[in-house]
Amino acid sequence: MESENFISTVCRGCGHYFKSQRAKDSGRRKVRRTVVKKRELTCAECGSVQEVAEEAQSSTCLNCGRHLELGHREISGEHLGNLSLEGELKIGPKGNFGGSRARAARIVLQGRASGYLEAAEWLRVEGHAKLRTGASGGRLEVTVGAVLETGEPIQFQGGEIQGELRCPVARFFGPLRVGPQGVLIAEKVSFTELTVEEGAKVKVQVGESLV
Amino acid sequence: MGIERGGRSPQNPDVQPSENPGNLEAALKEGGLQIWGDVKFRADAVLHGKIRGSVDGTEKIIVSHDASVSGAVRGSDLRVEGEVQGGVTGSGRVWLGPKGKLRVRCRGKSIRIEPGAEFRGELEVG
Repeated sequence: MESENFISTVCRGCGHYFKSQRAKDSGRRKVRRTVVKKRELTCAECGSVQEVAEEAQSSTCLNCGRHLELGHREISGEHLGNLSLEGELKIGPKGNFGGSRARAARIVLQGRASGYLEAAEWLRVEGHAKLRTGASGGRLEVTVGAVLETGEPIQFQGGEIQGELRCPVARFFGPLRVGPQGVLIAEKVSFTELTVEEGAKVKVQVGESLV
Repeated sequence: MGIERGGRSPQNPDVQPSENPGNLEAALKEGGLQIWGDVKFRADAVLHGKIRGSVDGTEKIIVSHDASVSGAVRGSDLRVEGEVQGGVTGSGRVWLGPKGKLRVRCRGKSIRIEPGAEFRGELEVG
């Protein structure tokens, strides 16, 4: 006869060692491991890639020590000063980016910007937008009904013009597509391939082949 | 295919004889043919050889990979796989192939320029 809370004992008959059921249950420690989803982050300063938690709002580059802001930002009024985000930047219809440079992974432009815009993934124009300077990045999308006027050259990896684009010089290092409602007016344009659909209006000088 | 030759009068017409001298279409298909002067088509046409002048058509025109035109090419739907130095004006679709070379201008209702194609000049749609 063992005590009520015994953990283990030895059989007096055969000498077999065994544990009580309670001990067995308590021995099974359930280890809960939280799976932290991660994503890759490229430093805007040095270009090094590191992994950060998907929900992280900020981080520091392990290579150069730069502070990286990972969240999103919306400009609905006047914004002075430079911006550097790894998330999405939205410049609303009444927003005006007055800094000299804004960098973000994705930029939605509905208002105006005095400074240079750099969208690593894409720049989407949704309203009547004016850029006093230029812009660059992955992909330029001018949606149906939207207008983008720039004062200086722009360069992107590719472009889809469903609205209107007016700029002095546009360089596309990939394909450019002008949709049926698209308008493209530029002094000089270059691209690797071009599709202009019926109904579009295009008047440009094609300067050089980038192939 | 109806063909009219007009425009400049050739100083030295260098039209090489083909197996069927009376059939200009067959001669054009053989390649190596050279025409000095403007050419007009009233039907679909596929160009081979060299044309030192302009090509004017009302239907589809294909400038094949072994063709070069020093002047302009006009037609409805145009497909350029060779070389056109005087620009193209199409009332329909204009397609510039991957090895096509085009200078001066490209006008059409819709335009497709493939990667690898060379184009410098004025682009106008609509």
